[in-house]
Amino acid sequence: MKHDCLVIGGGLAGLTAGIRCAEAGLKVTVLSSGESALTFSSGAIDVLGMDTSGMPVRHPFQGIGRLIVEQPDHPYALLGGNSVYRALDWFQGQVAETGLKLVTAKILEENHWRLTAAGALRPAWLSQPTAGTLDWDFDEIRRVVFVNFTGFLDFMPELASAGLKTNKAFEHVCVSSLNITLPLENGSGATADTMRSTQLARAIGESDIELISSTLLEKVGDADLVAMPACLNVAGRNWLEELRRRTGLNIIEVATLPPSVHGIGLLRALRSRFAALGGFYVPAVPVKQGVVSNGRVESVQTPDDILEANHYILTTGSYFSKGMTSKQQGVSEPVFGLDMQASEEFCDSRFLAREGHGFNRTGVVFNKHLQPSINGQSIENLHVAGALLAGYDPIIEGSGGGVAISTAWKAAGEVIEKMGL
Amino acid sequence: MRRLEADVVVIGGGATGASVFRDCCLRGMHTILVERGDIASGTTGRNHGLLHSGARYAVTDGHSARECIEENRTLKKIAGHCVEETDGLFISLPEDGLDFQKQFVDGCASAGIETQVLTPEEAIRLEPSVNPDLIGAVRIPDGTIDPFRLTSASILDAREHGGTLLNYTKAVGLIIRLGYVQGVRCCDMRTGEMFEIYSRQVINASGAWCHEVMEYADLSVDMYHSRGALLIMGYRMNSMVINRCRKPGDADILVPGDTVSVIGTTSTHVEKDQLDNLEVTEDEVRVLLAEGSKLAPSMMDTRILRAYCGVRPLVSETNSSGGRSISRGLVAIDHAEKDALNGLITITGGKLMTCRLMAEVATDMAARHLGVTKPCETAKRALPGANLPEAMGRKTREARKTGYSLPGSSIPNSVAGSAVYRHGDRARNFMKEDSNWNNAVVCECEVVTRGEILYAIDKLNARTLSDLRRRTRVGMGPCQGEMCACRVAGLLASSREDGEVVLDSLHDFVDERWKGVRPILWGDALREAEFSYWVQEGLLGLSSLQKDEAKPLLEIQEPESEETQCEQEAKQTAQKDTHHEA
Ligand SMILES: Cc1cc2nc3c(=O)[nH]c(=O)nc-3n(C[C@H](O)[C@H](O)[C@H](O)COP(=O)(O)OP(=O)(O)OC[C@H]3O[C@@H](n4cnc5c(N)ncnc54)[C@H](O)[C@@H]3O)c2cc1C
Ligand SMILES: Cc1cc2nc3c(=O)[nH]c(=O)nc-3n(C[C@H](O)[C@H](O)[C@H](O)COP(=O)(O)OP(=O)(O)OC[C@H]3O[C@@H](n4cnc5c(N)ncnc54)[C@H](O)[C@@H]3O)c2cc1C
Repeated sequence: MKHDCLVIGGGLAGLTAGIRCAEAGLKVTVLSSGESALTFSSGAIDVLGMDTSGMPVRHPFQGIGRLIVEQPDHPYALLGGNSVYRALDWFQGQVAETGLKLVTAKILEENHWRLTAAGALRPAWLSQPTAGTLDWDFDEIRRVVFVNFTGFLDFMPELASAGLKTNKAFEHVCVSSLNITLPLENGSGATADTMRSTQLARAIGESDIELISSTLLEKVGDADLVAMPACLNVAGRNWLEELRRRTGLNIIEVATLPPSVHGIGLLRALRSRFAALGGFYVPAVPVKQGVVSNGRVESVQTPDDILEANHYILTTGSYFSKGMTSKQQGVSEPVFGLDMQASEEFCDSRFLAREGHGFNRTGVVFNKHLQPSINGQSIENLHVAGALLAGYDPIIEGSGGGVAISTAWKAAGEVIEKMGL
Repeated sequence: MRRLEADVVVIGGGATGASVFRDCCLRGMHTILVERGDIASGTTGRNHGLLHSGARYAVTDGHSARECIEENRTLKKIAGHCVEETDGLFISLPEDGLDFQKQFVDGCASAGIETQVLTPEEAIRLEPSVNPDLIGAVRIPDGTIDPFRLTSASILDAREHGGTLLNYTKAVGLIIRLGYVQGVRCCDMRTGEMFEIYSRQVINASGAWCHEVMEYADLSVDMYHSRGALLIMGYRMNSMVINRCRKPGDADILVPGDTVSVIGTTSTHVEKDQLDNLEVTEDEVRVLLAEGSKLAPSMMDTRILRAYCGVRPLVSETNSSGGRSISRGLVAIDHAEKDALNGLITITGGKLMTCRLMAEVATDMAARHLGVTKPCETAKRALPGANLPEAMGRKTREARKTGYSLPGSSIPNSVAGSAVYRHGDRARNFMKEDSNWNNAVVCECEVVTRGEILYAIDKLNARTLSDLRRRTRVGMGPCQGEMCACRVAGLLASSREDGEVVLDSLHDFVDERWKGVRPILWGDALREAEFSYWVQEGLLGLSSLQKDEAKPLLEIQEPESEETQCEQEAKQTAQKDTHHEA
């Protein structure tokens, strides 16, 4: 079977590319070997959170305009603010088709704040509905409570309270924490201390929700914002909405330490959308090697197969997804041996350095069609997208999800155009 | 100004100071120990962890060899939960020849170290990771010792016998009147408070920094600061210590310890002003890997967890021929005799594994001055945790491997095993069935429970995340504290500390882990580092919670108040104090 397009890597970028190709009617397969970064992520999508001087960005698409003037090699420079906006708008629509209604800030084209489990605030573009969107100004907030379920280790309410208090805007806000001991109706006798977020999410039942709502009403009835670990909305049971209804409180879910219930939810939605459009998703199959001749990919090899396609999109992620590997001598791209661009300063002396680390900016080089090269020669029928691209720092900029989605959208667009559709 | 009193003040909370502290308390002297950082945060936390048999010195330094084998036997008796009796091999490679082996075996014999000459085949059978090209091997009673546990257990014993530990307290001067050291001027490194401790004897056990304390009394000593670098490999490659059978050189010892193996070390001279600047260089990494893989070839393909280095507190001596020689033995100076300055004793040099003996010598001196006649008991008396009663079954050092079944309890054997391994019979204090939530595993790599963390906060003076790491090994495994650092910060924040202090200590912890990863940032180390960075910065946004970083919403205001000199110093030290640690 010859594919129109073979996507290597089934994370956020790979599935986005797959969905766009399938939507255009291409015969497309996504091959993926391991877990995607989304499994560990916050579940929110950032487009541009910080500018080059480290200040938070309120209007991300305008911010992109400024960013690409300063950094012409940035992946966003291939798209510009408007196209990035179109890509994200399209993405939001595709996900919404599955019933997952990702939300943006109430004000048009603005970022909102995402509250973290350490009490920091990071700008985000799309969030899951139960995570809510915090407005840019917090004038209305006088009392915040972080609520955890006793024993659960992957949410740190006391630390988060202290973290939020370091923020000047919360100087006069009362921030506190509360632990509620749950019976865990569906936990088969296990206690929260032995659970990760995904297990806790499955263990919660009606009697827990009853206890949570009565405790909230009794103890924190006057809070303006109640933050809980993100494990209250899975598998069709939206307990969070239920809690909001019963208590009338403004309750939001905050991402726990990995794994991420929200991230996994988004990944599922993407897979189901891809399948609904007729795409073919093959899990647990690593591509070992690509065969390239005369500037074209001929085929790729999996452990038991040789696969051919007219076009290939490579979205294998960064180091921890194994899209890039490194040795003492340097960094490389393992499937095709693509040309890489390594940052001069590979890492900073401080881990949480404001400038970030060069290893995050290191990646595969690409031309304006997102085609990579080998020894300087572009590969005509290969496109690259997502975390393996060179020239940006997803964490310091707060641009991980946005770059993955928009470059995948563009890579798919290039393929669609070439197929003459 | 606050003023405390004691019979003895010990300066320095490394293995040496901790042992002196214990010895003094056991002999009934009222003792206070001051340590500017945390216990075992100096050289004691940055060494190889080899319980020498003495064989390494058998040919070159018979005196040290004899000292080692005696203390080797003593520590096995009194500190069973800190020691692993792995035995060791001295292997000869083709390039070494077998000539040295003969001298070596003779040297061991005259130092009283038992040896067993093995054929290459026998050696490979005993230790499959060893270089198969070896032409000969000798088995000797080397072992491994956990410096954190040893120090912590000594401190615990001292405190249970009336001693007072003041960590994060720096000795900033000596109180000297009429040729008599009457006490120590101290600074609380957290608050900047200055206070005094009046005493009858001061014992300077500040290791590589002991010249600084001596300078407070205008005395000097000719220190030779020898820096050594080491690499921690990602898993336990070897079960016996592997040495090269030749004159001691670079990277010729591979020591298994807990879940890892450590290759070391190098030896280069460093200047006094570079003692706190301990970055491992690319060259050192190269030498360690190249030489180390001659001991165990699989090292080339093994993940490196981190790199670190320490400084040996050696003392130069002028020898008979007028040249300088560096003593590897202990150096005890009674300044009353040497410099006519009463009330001050310095104990330095030596080794981790001779700390008990060093303490005995120094405490004998102090006891003589104070008229204390009670003899030293430390060679006979087991350290807290070392005595597992029969009811607890197996020996501690096996508990880790085989697991441990707590009678009548449902705590998984592997979890109980790790706790017993680290804390001996004291693990019963926190491995309790009834205690809610306490058996939850906080750090998966090292199997550290919530109860163990809370025990270390409550009973072992741990105040920061790094303190907790030294007490429990939290964050020391393959992931280097990716997520457990945040979980532990959560526990610390909920147990007693001011949350902002905990955030600072989380930053320090993260930076300290990073120091050791940076020199070896490739392969899996880079994958883990990238993931940690995503979690700690991408997911949690930790950098914006740093005191000294501008916060997105915050205009920084410089504090108006004038800092005291001590506060400034406290800050500088806090900045400087970011060494590598094992
Ligand atoms: C902890 C964490 C928090 C985050 N938080 C946010 C956030 O708040 N906001 C935001 O916008 N972004 C966030 N991100 C980033 C975002 O998730 C990533 O930028 C994005 O998912 C990258 O997508 P990708 O598809 O390029 O790579 P990945 O998601 O890494 O996907 C690559 C996939 O390719 C597979 N693969 C690799 N090699 C092969 C091979 N040879 N053959 C077949 N398959 C292969 C991998 O197994 C993997 O499934 C976070 C990420 C993490 C880890
Ligand atoms: C690379 C390397 C490998 C080694 N390998 C081994 C080995 O395998 N086996 C072995 O037995 N030995 C080994 N050693 C030697 C051993 O580590 C040291 O001899 C031993 O740890 C020294 O302990 P200490 O307590 O004297 O010094 P330290 O541990 O340095 O303690 C001194 C303490 O004093 C504190 N201090 C300093 N100034 C002040 C002040 N003004 N006020 C308050 N506190 C102060 C410091 O913070 C420090 O904690 C090795 C050493 C190195 C460097």
